[in-house]
Amino acid sequence: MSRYFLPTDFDVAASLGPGLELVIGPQKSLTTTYLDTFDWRLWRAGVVLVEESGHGRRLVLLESDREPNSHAIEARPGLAADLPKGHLADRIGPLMGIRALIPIGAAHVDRRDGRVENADGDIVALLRFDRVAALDRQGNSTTDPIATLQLRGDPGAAGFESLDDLTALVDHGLEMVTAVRGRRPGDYSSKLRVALDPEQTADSAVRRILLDLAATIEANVEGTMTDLDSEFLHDLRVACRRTRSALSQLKGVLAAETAAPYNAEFKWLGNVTGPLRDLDVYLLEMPGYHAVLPAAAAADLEPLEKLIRSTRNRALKSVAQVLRSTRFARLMTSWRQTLEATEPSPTAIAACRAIELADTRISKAYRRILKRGAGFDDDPPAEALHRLRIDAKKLRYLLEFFRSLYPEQVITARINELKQLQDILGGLNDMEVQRKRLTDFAHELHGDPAVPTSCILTVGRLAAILEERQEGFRMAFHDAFMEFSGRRARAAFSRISGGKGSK
Amino acid sequence: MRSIAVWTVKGGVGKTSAAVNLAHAASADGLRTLLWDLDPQGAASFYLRIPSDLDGAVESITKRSVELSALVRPTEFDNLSMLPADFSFRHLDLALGATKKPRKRLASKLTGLADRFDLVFLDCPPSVSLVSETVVKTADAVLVPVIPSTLSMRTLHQVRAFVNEHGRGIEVLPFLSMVDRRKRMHNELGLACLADPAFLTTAIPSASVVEKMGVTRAPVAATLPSQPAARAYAALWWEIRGRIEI
Repeated sequence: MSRYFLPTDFDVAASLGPGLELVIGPQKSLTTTYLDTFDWRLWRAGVVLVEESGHGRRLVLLESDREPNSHAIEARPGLAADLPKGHLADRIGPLMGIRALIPIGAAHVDRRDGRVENADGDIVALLRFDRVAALDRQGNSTTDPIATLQLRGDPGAAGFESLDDLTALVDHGLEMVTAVRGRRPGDYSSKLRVALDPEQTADSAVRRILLDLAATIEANVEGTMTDLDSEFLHDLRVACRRTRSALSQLKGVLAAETAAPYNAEFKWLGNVTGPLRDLDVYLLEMPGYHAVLPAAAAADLEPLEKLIRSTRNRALKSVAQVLRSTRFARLMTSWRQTLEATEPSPTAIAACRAIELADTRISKAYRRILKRGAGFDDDPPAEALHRLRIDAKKLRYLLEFFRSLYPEQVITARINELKQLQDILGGLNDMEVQRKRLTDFAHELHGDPAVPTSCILTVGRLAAILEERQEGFRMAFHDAFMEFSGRRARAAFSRISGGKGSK
Repeated sequence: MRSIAVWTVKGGVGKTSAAVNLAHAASADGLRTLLWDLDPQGAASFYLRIPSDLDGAVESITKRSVELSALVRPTEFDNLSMLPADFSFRHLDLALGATKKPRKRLASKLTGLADRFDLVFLDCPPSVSLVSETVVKTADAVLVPVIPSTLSMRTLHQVRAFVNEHGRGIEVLPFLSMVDRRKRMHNELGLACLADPAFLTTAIPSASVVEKMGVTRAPVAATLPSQPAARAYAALWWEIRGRIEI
């Protein structure tokens, strides 16, 4: 399938080869709505998903080198589970993961389908003439429409040599429809991607990082409040945590009196959004809970799920209230003003080179992990492992803040090594937290006379399974830490932190 | 990817109309569908306006080195593609016979299409031949149109015997085709057929709109979707979908 811009003076019928005829169908008007996740998961995979509505409603999956796959729908799908079964769900579902589809652009299209026939009335090529007007968020067309020609079949067989002079379109109109909404494909990622210069001052580098994190917090406010999917809140909270981590890990770059009040305010933001995230995690874990229990126990978890959902509804309202509050608005406005201020931070560290700051702080964070782990016996207490998990997270954030200052391959390898340790520490912590919270839920459910005893017993059984898993993570910890703190890893960290890592 | 052969040894029983209309119904249902016209007469290709004059059509099936997917053509209908027939298919028996393992060759050709299609309908020539034998050995199910007449029902017995001999537990799905409710024999024999649990319960009526496909050159549902024949093909497709669990 090929697509071209069609100039107004281009006569398709006249450019056909001898003995061929263009047969054009009636004009149809439709609205095309482009769908993707907020973080562009479909676009990143080279997939475009369009909802066409006019005469009926259908989803159309567009991929290069593939015929389009369309599916009639009654309502726009939100989460992967809402997708119509079949290839579309098989292709799109895994890409979406837990993210929802949201409209990222729309257009009004006047369409005419046609075919090029030979003397026998056989189809030589299929044509589609679209007149596309991109629509803004209010549904208004604010730019001039463009005319496109889409061709399926062999252009040569249709005698269409003149198509070579036309400008080919490669993106199914995605850039045009997103541009009128002030967006462009790939403009958001939950990953921190700040391009820093090793020679820039530590002050300017840290401000860049913090501004990027502030933008991430702001970008996720609306999606969190409208509850499109649980990742909006997650990304908002991660950006908030990274901000606090930057304020403490990069201490001394911003003046202490400047940083302190913001640290307190972001701590507040983290605290008030925490309960909703915890409840999201339980709901996300629910299929996993069902998977480890026998099928007969599925109904026993219903009261638990109901309790979590109702608690979550209350938590969502309270988070939405926070995000609409003057306190939050003031925090973000004044934080931006502080970061965008033209006068540099007055501290000595602020004036040093970004690479020096990165080397020193990464090295310090790595050494802190080695030191804490060195004191562990064969069975370290949960509290000590919890602290190690936080230390590891701090190092991870530093590596991500400064990744552009180091060779990509080297920094990715270090992040991957750290991730293996973090997965085990995170698993240990998750099991501990979930187990404790399940016990709390069991107490709460116990007080409800409508809840059958079998539900309480199943929740107890689940807690026991989580404890077993926790033990599994604990067993894996020792080897993972030995690997992370071994000679090879020390040498590798030393190379990215100016020789300071192995000491 | 699942494959359904549409086959019988008797001509003029609505085989190709069924292949075209069912492939269209499956594609309207969102399945990426390929209609493979293996009948040298090329009637299915004609119905969908796809030229049946392919260079290397036989080689694309019999030779490992020739890509079959290069011969796939888009149709006017969403999700529906076609591998058109070629008159050279009249020699396909000989060419397949010259390959060492015809079934394996056809199976590998189908596997090569698996990432592009969910379902393939194979419109087979109405004869007992190596082509039909190979297809029967390869497909997931054989759809057999049966006119409620003595001869047509006798043909079903022959098809079943052939499939039992050559197929590997492949499902035979007979359905009533070209049923004329004004004819007493059609009604009586039709009822007798439906007592057989293997029969699909939807009957395709004898209808002029199906005959007119030769003029409209489109599936019935694309031109006259509210006609009983169009609704019958859609219902038959739903039944098949349930039987082959796709």
